[in-house]
Amino acid sequence: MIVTTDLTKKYGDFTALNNLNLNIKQGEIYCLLGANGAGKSTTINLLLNFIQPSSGTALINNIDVTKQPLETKKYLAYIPENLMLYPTLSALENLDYFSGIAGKVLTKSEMEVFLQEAGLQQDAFNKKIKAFSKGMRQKVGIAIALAKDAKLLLLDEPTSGLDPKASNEFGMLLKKLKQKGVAILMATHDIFRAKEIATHIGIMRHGVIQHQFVADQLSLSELEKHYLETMNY
Amino acid sequence: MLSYNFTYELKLLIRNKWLPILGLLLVITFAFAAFNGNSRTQKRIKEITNIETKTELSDANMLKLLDSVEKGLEVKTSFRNIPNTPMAIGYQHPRAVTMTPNGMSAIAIGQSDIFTDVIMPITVDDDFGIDFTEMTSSIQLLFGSFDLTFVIIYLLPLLIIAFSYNILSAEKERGALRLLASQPVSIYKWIFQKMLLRFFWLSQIVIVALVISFLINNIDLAQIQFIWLLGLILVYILFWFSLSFLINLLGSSSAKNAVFLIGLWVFFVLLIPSSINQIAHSIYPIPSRNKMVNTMRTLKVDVSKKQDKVLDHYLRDHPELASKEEDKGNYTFWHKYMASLDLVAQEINPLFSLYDEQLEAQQSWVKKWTWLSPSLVINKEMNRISGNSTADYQNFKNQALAFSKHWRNHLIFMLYNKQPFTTKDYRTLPKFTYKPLKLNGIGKHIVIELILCVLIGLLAVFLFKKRLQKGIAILNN
Repeated sequence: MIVTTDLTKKYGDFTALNNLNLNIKQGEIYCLLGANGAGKSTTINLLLNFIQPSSGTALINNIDVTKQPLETKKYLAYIPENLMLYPTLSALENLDYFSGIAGKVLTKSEMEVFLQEAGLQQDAFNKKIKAFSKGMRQKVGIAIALAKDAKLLLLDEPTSGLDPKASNEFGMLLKKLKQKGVAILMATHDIFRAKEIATHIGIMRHGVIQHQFVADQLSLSELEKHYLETMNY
Repeated sequence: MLSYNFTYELKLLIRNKWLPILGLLLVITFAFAAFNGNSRTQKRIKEITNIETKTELSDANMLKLLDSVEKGLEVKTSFRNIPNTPMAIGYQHPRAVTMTPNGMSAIAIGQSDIFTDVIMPITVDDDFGIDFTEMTSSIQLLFGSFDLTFVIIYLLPLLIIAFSYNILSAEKERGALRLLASQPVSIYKWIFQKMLLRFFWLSQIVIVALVISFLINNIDLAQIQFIWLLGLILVYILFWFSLSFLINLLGSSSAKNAVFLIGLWVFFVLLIPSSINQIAHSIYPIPSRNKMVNTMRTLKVDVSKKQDKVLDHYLRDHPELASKEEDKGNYTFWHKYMASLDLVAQEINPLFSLYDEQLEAQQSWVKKWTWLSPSLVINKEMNRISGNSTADYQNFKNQALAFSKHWRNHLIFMLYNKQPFTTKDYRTLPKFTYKPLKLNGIGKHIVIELILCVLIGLLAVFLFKKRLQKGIAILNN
């Protein structure tokens, strides 16, 4: 679903991302760990074509991101770190709007199913977003992804600022999406959550993936050790 | 995308109270401005009607007197007031030369508060040329009148700026732009639609406010000029939206956008017009009004001292007026006076025409540079529609002067032919009817401004695509 080949982003002398090679398939959750400035967000911004690579290519569903950006965006859903919706519109209205401008016409009952599936409580459907917590807004974001029938989900630190219960719920939701065959790329600081839901984990530093693991093949403490070693290197 | 943008943009605008506030604000200001313009117009119409009624009354009296005199009845009035000589008519019974405001006069007070639109030319004097020389009120120049033109040219752009300066930047600053940009929609199309919708709603409000203000003030809506007016206003609104579109797509922060747009407002609405005006005044200065008045007085004194000589000269120049051999030398005060007036006119004319020439030079200079600012173009066209522009008053002045000359010559001819004035002559007295300037070329200006808006829009899209390539359009920079 996501294939990057020698993807590199330089800002003058500074290399934000250096020859990244990723291959994330359907039903995989790839967690990118790393400190601030490691290149996690740069990777996601490149995949969204918000910024242009200095060299290398990124493919989404075998389509080049820089050549046909709008085409690739049909297959992906993105939840930024701080998901902002229209505060004066309700959850249902936000879902309707974001799906609608992307060309997806939904009935009210369909939308309610998506919001329910995303785990939003029924009584919040018609409430204005401005009263929502970050966890609730993210659920609306997930509902937008579900409605879009996205094949791939890009998440930028989705669990930061969530309470443990909300974070857990979010993890469960991602697992459900994984089972549906969605490919997920998640940038995070949360080693614990990463270990729990990821199929693959990469530890990033200075724009390079220093270590890459299959999540089942190591324990949480081993992961933490590797992480700290990489950071102190 | 358009239908969703339409539905939700409307919802957002209503929920954050933009539409109700704008609606109320515009209806109130438009109604007040139209009221001001209309009061001025009504006052002018009243003045004109007064003068005309007065003239009719005085004419009726004159005819009565004349009738009595012709029937050989005795009249109880001073011989000076008996209207049986052409000079008595020329002196005491001037025609009313008036410029009746047109149906759209209320939209722009224009020059109507500086120039007069009622003149009573009398044969003994034509000093009224002075009425047309400029009297400048500095307060008036500074603020203009609070009429519809002022509201539209000056205030409306500010509302448009407030309404549209942060369409993109607010999304960016709130973070919603990232989510939007991850959808398969092109961002500039999305902003374009948002702008278009806001333009649409503002235009609707403006049209409604305009119609309401016309209805309240009893201004006729069913005239072709109203359509032209709407066309001008809409294209002016579009111009400001296209500037705002450009600034939005240039992608600075909301605060910077606001500053840029206010800067453009100052540039187009204040700086360009006042610069053009200043330069026009310094290249083609208008002669001093005081100097003109003084020169005229001195001339009159000089000329009156040598009236006999003046008459000889005059008759040499106008042999058709010279009396037959048998009457030779039988000239009255009036003959001498009218001849001297002619001389004064000859002397003063260069001064008057200098004034006219300078004014015309100024106007053609301003005309040459008007295109620099759409505010100026629209302002000028609105003034033309109102019939109160400088050109209209210039036109009235020329017609009034021509009439005055015609009127005087008519009576002088009778004077020198020693014709008495009779009831029959009353019917052949010249009458003045004001012929307004033709209102053409407005459509051309609308089309030119429309093309300008399209060019600004294209420039905006071009620059935005460059920024997208650089990757600085979506993320905060």
